[in-house]
Amino acid sequence: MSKMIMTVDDSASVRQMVSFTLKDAGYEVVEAVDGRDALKKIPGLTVHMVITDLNMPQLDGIGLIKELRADAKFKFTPILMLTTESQAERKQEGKTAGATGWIVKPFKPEQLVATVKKVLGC
Amino acid sequence: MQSVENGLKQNSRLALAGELTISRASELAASIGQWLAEQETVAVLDLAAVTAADVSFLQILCAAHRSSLREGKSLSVVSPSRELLRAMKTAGFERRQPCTQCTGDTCLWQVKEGL
Amino acid sequence: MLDQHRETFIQEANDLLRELEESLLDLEEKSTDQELIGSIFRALHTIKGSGSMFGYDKLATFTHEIETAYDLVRSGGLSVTRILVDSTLSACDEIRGMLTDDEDRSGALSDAQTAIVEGFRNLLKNTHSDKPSAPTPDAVVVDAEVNSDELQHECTYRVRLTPSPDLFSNGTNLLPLFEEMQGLGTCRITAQVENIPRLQELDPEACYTFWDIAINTDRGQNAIRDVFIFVEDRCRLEISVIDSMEREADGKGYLKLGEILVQRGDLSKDNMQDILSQQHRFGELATEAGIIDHGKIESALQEQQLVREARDKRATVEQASTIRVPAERLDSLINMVGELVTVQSRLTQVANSSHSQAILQVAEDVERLTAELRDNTMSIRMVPIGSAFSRLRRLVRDLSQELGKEIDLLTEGAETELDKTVIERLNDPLVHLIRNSVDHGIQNPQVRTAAGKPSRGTIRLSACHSGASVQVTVSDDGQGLDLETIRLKAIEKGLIAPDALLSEREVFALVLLPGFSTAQKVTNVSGRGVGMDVVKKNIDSLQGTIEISSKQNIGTTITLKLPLTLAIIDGLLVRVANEFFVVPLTSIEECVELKLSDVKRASGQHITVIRGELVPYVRLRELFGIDEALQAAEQIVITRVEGNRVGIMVDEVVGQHQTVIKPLGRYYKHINEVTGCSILGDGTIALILDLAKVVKSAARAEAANYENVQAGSV
Repeated sequence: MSKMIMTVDDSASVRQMVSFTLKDAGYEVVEAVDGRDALKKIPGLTVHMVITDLNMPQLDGIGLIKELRADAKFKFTPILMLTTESQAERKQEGKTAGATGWIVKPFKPEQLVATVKKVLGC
Repeated sequence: MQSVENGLKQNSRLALAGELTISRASELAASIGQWLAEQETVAVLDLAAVTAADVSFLQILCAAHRSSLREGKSLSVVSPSRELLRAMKTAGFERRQPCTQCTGDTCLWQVKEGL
Repeated sequence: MLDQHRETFIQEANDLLRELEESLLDLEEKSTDQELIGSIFRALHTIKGSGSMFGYDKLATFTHEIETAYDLVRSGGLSVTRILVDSTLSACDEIRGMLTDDEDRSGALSDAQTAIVEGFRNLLKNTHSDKPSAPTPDAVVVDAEVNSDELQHECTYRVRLTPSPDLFSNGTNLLPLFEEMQGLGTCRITAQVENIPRLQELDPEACYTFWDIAINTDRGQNAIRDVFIFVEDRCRLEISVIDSMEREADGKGYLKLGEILVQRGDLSKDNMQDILSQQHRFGELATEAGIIDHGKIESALQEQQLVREARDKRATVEQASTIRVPAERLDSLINMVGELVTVQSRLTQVANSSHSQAILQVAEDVERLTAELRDNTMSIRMVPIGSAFSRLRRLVRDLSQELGKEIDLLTEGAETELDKTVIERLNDPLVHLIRNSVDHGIQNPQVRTAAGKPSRGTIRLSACHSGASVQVTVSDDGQGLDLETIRLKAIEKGLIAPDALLSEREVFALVLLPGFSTAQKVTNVSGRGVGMDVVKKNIDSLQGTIEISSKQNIGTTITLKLPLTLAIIDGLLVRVANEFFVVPLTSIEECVELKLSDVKRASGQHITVIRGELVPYVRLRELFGIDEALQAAEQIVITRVEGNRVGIMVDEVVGQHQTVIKPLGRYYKHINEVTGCSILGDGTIALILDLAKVVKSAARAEAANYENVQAGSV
């Protein structure tokens, strides 16, 4: 059974790239455009991992991480955040909120897959 | 979804199934604890249908075993699944000698030569 | 596939730009609307972030500057002004332009774009923000190749991972990380379960376990740290090297069980002594005594076993692929092969004159076999230069620590093979060059930072084959050589005339002269100015050449060119009367015919004109006192000796000649101009010339001659 990953990003192009790459690596992918959209979609799904951008309208990444950690069902779900190099503080905020790990933009498809495997196992 | 409730309970035997990971840790610890309390001398965990396990479950097993020793019961694991054995091996829980608490008894983590 | 994402990005960015412009126009009226400011910031951030993902580097750099301003607006550090809005609007136009310019996604900013960036920077300068806006570099996560340049040695590490109880609360699963560790090398993981309580007291979501890991890997410590990068805030990670090839080579046996436990702090020294005083197996005793948990002993045993296995593996690899032979035996083998080559060419000559088809056939076979045998024998002497490199690594580390400098030594081409003797004799010069770089080349971290360089200096040591020779370079990114200082020093020392006109290359070559040293102060690292001339002497004796190039404040590069081997020489065979000589091929530039009349025109001075350039020459006939009539035409072999063109005048150039060098006997030790000899096919001896010495003694002879003439004419 392939594992399901939710990608949350307001940038359509990044979402598309993440989605393509992960599907190619054999994962199932669901997309959400921001934190609120993610929270709306996630309850009905068995999501094994969430990959979220940090800056988004309608509930940003940090808010989403906090909401998920507060929900018993997603208390331990691995969450990766997409950060940029200039966002050291935001990354720290995300770690404190309960993110499992991070990927720094820009990243290559191989790096994304390697990081996902690092957290989920093969 | 499998859970302890629909796991098989007969002849002091408890079968656990599915993904035994951190998200179910509290629930598993509670039900194993309750089940163990109900057993008189012999308790057998059947782990043949475990499809995934992580460190949190290995800790629960170890803790359960320690409780059973204290209470003078014998807790053993039968037919562990490949996935469970792999988790044990990967996380370094295998032992060639029993751990200190288990002296004189069969340690859960002891690997017999030739197995 | 990337193209498809790009298309999506362009569309997305254009949408964002349209929204951005509307928001900007609204902002003019509602200049404190936080929601509006937030959405502007986010749009810029998305354009930047996504742009960088799909290779729009220029666009990302540009947008970053504008985003920085709005980050400040958002936090109240900068207020919205007419100028800000106007500049942002023109920035939007530029971004739109960059989106359509598919050719130049990562080039430099145009003038107009730079002007906009400057404008934004000025806006920021006028704020009293104390928040530095410089991007903080962040480690890229999944780059397994840490310092791929660096040659990592295989080492055995001891790792103790002690998670804090809340480790699992951020969704961390340790199993994939342990699997990743297994991927780095042979790895023994032992979970320490002694802190796990009984079920009643267990918090099922907390981590009670800690781990001892012994791993044997050539990927280095950083690779191990990278495995645990996501959990570093929630774990204590201790890594130490417990065994390596060097340690084994030092003859150290591995630690005893008790010693491992004491080293890890799991057992006190006193307890160990108590246990040892009883004559039983340590592990059993320790646990029976209840002093230590079995898990700790288990992991110590695992560690011992891993080290033993790693050592065994290294030993078998070595045993399987190498045998040790005393160097003298190799030397005598080479010598005999040399003789064989000589005999073989005599055989070929005899066979050629015998007109017997059968003998010719045999001679050809022998020739082919001999050539193969010679090449094979030579290759036995070849060893990788890496052995010389690894000693320098330690040198750099120790010296830089002593001098308070931060220096990385990068090595390349450690696998390049060279004759063992060459490598042995190369060691001293290399040590000297590295010492120089560490001491005089690389400045202190403060000085470097002030000069805008990274505080860590780099010395690059590389080796590669180039034709029949090996090129070894030592380069540093230090302060470089100061041409003027060298020139003044040379004048002061009387090495050159004050008005001498020298090329850059010639000035640098002055450093190689005896007694030259430019260091401002004498340090105990590079010693007392017995500097480069010694290096030069060493390299000369190896038939090699040395060249210096340097740029001030950029660094210095020293290039050594060395023959692959000292046992064989590629030379040009020349004849003067009935004597044969071999000129080393590496220093030959061309051969030119010279008529007796040309020489006469040069009026007795040993200078001739080759294509309009004056070239001094040496007449071997005179140098070696060969008294025989001059021929009508002579040939000049033009060579480059120590950077100058010098002609060697001979009767005839016979041809190219690869030969085994035979040393001259002790009787001839005082003859400097000849490095050895070679035996020709017919048994005749050819002397191998040491060109530098030949030129030197010719110059001396000429000077003496000149003085005599002057004295006579008075």
